[in-house]
Amino acid sequence: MTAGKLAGINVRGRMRDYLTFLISNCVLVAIFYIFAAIYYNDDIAYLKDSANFKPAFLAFAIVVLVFSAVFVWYSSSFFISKRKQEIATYLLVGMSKRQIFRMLFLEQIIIGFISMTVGLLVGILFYKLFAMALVNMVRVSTNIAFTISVRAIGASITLFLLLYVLNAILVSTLVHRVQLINLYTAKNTAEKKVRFNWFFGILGFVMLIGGYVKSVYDATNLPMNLGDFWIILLLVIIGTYLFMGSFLSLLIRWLSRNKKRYYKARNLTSLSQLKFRIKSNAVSLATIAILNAMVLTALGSMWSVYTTQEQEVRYYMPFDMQYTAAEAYDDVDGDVDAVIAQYDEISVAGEMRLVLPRMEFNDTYKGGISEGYVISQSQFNEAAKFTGQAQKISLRDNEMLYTDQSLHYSAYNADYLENMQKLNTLEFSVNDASYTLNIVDVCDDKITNGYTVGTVAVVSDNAFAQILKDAGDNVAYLRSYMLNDPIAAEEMINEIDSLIPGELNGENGPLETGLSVDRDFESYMFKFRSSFSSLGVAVFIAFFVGIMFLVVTGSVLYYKQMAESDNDAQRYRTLSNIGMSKKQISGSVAIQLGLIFGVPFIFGTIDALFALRMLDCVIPQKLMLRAMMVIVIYAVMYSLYYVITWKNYKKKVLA
Amino acid sequence: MPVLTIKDLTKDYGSKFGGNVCHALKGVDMDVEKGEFVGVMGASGSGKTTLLNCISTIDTPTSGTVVIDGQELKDLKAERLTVFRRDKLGFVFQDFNLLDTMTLGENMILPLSLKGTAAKAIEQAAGPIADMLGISELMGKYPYEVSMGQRQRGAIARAVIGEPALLLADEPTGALDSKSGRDVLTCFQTLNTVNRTTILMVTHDAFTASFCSRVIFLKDGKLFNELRSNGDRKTMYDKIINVLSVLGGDGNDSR
Repeated sequence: MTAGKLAGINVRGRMRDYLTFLISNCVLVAIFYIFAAIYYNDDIAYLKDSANFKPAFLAFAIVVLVFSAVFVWYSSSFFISKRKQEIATYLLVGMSKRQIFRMLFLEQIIIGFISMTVGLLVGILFYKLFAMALVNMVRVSTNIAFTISVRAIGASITLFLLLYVLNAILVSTLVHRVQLINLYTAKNTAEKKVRFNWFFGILGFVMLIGGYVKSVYDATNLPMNLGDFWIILLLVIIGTYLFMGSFLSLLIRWLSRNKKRYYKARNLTSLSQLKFRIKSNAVSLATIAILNAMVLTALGSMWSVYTTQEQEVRYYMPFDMQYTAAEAYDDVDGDVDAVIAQYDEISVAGEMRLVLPRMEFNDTYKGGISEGYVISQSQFNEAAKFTGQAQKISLRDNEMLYTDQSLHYSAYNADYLENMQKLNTLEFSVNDASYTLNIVDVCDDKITNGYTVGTVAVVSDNAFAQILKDAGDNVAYLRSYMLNDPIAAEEMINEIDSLIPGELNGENGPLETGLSVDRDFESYMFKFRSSFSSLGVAVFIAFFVGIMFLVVTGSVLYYKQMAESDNDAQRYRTLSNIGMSKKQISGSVAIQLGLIFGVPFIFGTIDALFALRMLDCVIPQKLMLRAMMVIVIYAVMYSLYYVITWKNYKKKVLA
Repeated sequence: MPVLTIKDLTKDYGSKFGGNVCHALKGVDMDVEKGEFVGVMGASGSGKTTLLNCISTIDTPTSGTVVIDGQELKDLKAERLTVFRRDKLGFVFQDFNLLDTMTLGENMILPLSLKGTAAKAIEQAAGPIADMLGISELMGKYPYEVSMGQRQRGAIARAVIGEPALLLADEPTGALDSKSGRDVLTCFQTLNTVNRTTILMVTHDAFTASFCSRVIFLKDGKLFNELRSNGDRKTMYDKIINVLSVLGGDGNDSR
């Protein structure tokens, strides 16, 4: 019998063992193929032009490969270690180590080949669906044809084949570690009895709490710097590792101290099993906790940013189109009107012309002299009516409303506004004239597109007439449009954009507020396109990273527990012999696995909640509620792995 | 020439970690002639499994020599040891060690197919052995589909199909009920008388040992006594019981 034939027999005979491995592996190959196919697809040339498309996809491809490598290596070494006795039997009946090596190698290759083929088929089948999802997420209406990308197949086969061959070689070399004596020595190597290490336990606890407290503190004392962020990350990660080892044994000790509870057969058995091998589990549980935290934070924040993005874009761009000029340019206005007239199907819902006097004032918050603009109350109210984003206001002649158009970082903004609110009056100068007005309110209601205009003082119509006179030609001209369907007007907006002299596209406009801006064009459509093309890709990738993490952490836990179930089977058989019922055994297994799956999830979720809270303060979107949704969905999928493991574990133990 | 010659065999355990050294074997001498069916008996910890491991090349002795079929074991290097094991030795264990992804038939012919024997020769060898052991009907069945006794007979078939110089058995009836145990022992006896297979069997059970033509008793790592059968199993059994009572302790323990 050749090694090849034996390998074939083994694969067939072990299909049930290999099934979970195959499924996870297929998912990884399919994901890789789908991404490669999208990468090579020409239907979405639009997307590929965006700057972060290529690096994002390449980075993701590397992540998939690294994940696959870790996963394949972990699970196949699990299989081999489970088969030590079998390998020893081969040695005994006269197979040389070389033959065994060849047999195992072929086995790995066959399994790899099967998962690659099935994975590619699945990928080809689902390619269109996910490509459509991506296109949908970046809010483009392009049709995706069902195609089979030869280049993507080539890339997948090359990379995964390389991975499988490398893995097969590595795994097969494990055979050299197998000694014949393994046949006799029990597989069951008792683990060191664990003591609660007070020092590390307390150190871990302190680091963990320290990290949490620092995160809360730093988030409320903005701006925070990157160094603080890394310190928090390190504290939490190291703290989790240290704490996990000690916390688990402490938890179990505490659980078993209550005799009334502990002496219930179900608890007695599950806890004593856990006690027995807590140490080998602590490191992987801490790793999984941290992976969970990463995934939940990334997915939660991405998802909430994505779902609130349309609202955000609208906030930044209250008008569908707006251009700013340092001086009136009637010829450009005429050209723009001519372009709009060409597009019959696009109707202008309204337009507005503003002439804003420039002013200077002493900025107590930022320090030094800042520049701003003045707008009349009736103009402000008209803009508010247009955009629906600002409160209408009525002012007396000695009053003003202080608005800031350029800040929208919630925590920073809140701090800034709070500071401004302490001021009762604002003194500002327009050319040589100086004004002191009472501030009735401070707000960040936006009536201009983008960041080009910073501080705007709203004054009564009478005061404005005087200020305008004082300003002379020290004014900015703003022309704003509302369209009925701003996204559909893409072509027209681009054409107008090219008419505006100076900087093209709002995206490239200077971020600084004040006089440095001579001309600018800001459109809702452009902001919408650019933010969704990058964010859509990011969310799409984050979604797949999440799935991969789930598949890999789930399978790692599954394999770890199933490997241990071999040893437990004997113990549970003994327990059933001395009168433990099937129901009790099933309950005991549920508790044992519940702790193993639950602890890293709970720790990961706590970590993620603190991280999200921190992000919540730094970015404008309100994360928590939407992130909780993501956490709940993740928890449901994660518990699926728990249930599968529990079912299989039970089957094995009760057999 | 004897099939197996052991001279002054010793084996120590446990010195590696600085603990107490355990002298499992303290100088054992013995011979096994061609066609003999030898039993090795002794209490738990008397060194009988260690002796078997040293003979079967699974473990290496601390000192002394083991010669099987004219070959000194010490002189063999790893790769040649595998071939030696395949060609000269057959193994039967308490827990069978059948490969559960293969049928009984596939398990049985594995040693020959590894050796590269032609298919026709394999079939010629397999048929009579399967008949003799009463498992010819079960060749297509997987280990988990047959009884424990049948599994053990499958394992015996695998052990003897290569016509080994020496068949080593470690508590072959340990996991079996008395009926299947008796069947397995009858198989050994048939192989011994019909095929002149040389068998060395370790057991702690007097009934099992009474099937042997000669029984060696170990005590604390040394030879203690030796009994020869006159062909009558009942008389042999009584004699073994007598020696065990002199040997004292838990000769009949059930581990």
